[in-house]
Amino acid sequence: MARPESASLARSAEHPKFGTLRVAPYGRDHVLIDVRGPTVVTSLRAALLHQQPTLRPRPGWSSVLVRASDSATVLELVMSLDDGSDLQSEAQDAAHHHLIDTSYDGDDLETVARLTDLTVDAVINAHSSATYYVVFLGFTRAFAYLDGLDPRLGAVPRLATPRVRVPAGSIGIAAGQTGIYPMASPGGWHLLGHTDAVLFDTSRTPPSLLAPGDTVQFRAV
Amino acid sequence: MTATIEVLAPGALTLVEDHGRDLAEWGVARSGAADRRALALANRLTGNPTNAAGLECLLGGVSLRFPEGAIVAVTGAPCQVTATGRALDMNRAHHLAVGAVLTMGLATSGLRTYMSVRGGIDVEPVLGSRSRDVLAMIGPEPLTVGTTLPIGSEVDGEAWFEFISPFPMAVPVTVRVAPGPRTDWFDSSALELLVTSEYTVRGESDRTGIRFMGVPLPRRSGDLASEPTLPGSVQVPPDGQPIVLGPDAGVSGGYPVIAAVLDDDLDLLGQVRPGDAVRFRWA
Repeated sequence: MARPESASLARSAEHPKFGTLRVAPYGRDHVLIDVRGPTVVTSLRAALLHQQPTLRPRPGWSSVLVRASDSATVLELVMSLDDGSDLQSEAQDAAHHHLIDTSYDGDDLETVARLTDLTVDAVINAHSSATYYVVFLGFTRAFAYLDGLDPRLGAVPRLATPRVRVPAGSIGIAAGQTGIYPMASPGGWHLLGHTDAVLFDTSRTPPSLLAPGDTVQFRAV
Repeated sequence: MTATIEVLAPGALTLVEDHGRDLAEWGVARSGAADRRALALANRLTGNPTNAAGLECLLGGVSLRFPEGAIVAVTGAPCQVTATGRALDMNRAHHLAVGAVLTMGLATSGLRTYMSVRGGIDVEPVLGSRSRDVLAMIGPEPLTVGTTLPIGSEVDGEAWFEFISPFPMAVPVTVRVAPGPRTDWFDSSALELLVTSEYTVRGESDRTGIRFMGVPLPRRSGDLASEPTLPGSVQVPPDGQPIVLGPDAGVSGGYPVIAAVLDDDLDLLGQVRPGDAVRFRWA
């Protein structure tokens, strides 16, 4: 077969609730829906789960992957989703709020304070006073991608040299995001502290403590 | 009493694998056999359900003792197979006597040899599967000397004791791809190059992904916000050298995905070695 014409593969549309959408095939059996950002991801995922659970929507930071072979059909379906407030409240009903007890004793607190021109206390305060949204579970072992980092902490980059081993439960920030390492692994984020909460337990169904759509707060202990 | 397998020599890396998990939305990789077709054939030969757990042996060099005997079949990457010194054909079932020692030698081509035992390997499932995920470290530990594996009793039919001709492995390996979601990150020459050049498998390849070396695919600079990925996603990092995600890859990533290998052709990539040439073609 001739090479695909890239221009013809993706379709864009404007949705009254979800805003600008882009729908593109992802291999033969999946379709990726691009949206503006994490807030839209959460409501689009909830609406798709409600309307067509067989699509098995998988959120990303600003996209949702569905199991379907035809992107035109997916676009049609998404456009037919109305902005009924019942969908929104349904998603909120299913969501949990998690208070994560956090020891702010991370190795990079001083560095983060320096990078942000804040005191260590102000860094802790900025991190622990925000409410975060779980946008999606990804990478490996259900790493939760959280939206809602205080913009004052947004300028902290990844480490120039990643650590070889970061213990499970470590809480870090980098590149405008915060997260909890669900397992010991190499890691490139600046570490603010740690929690004893068990993020991932294979004997639990579902295995992840946090689910997409949940809210999270870090409580200094 | 449960029949068992005793590991005398584990080879370079021998894993228990079945057909994997279906929990991607929970951040868990599919995992499962890198060559599912070879494992399914081995299971058919021993009369198991096709998704029963077997052993995936990287490059062979494995020695196993069966204290209670068993019915086994070996498929996948060809190697010399013996039972207590006697040569056995691959790709058919065999009776092993009480106390027999099964050896699988160095694979002469391909990468992964599979062994199925009638009744399946009955380790405790984790998240609905007996597969080892080497990145998330979920599922049964890799085999070591002295590991004892329980043999299960779930069977699906009779074992097949006649030789079945195995799947042919053409060289260079050609796999079919369908367009990915980020073709707009590449100019048309990249879409052309992907399917007209030959790519060589690099040594840094494993169950999380196969890294290739060849003509770099020109792409836009920058990174995407992390998006869902799939086994078979063809990611292109800034250096332009494609990576095809494997069964144990993380389920999200930020490199643009130019194409995705068809699910049926992933089995072929489960058998390529460092140095092998691979061609991609549009499905």
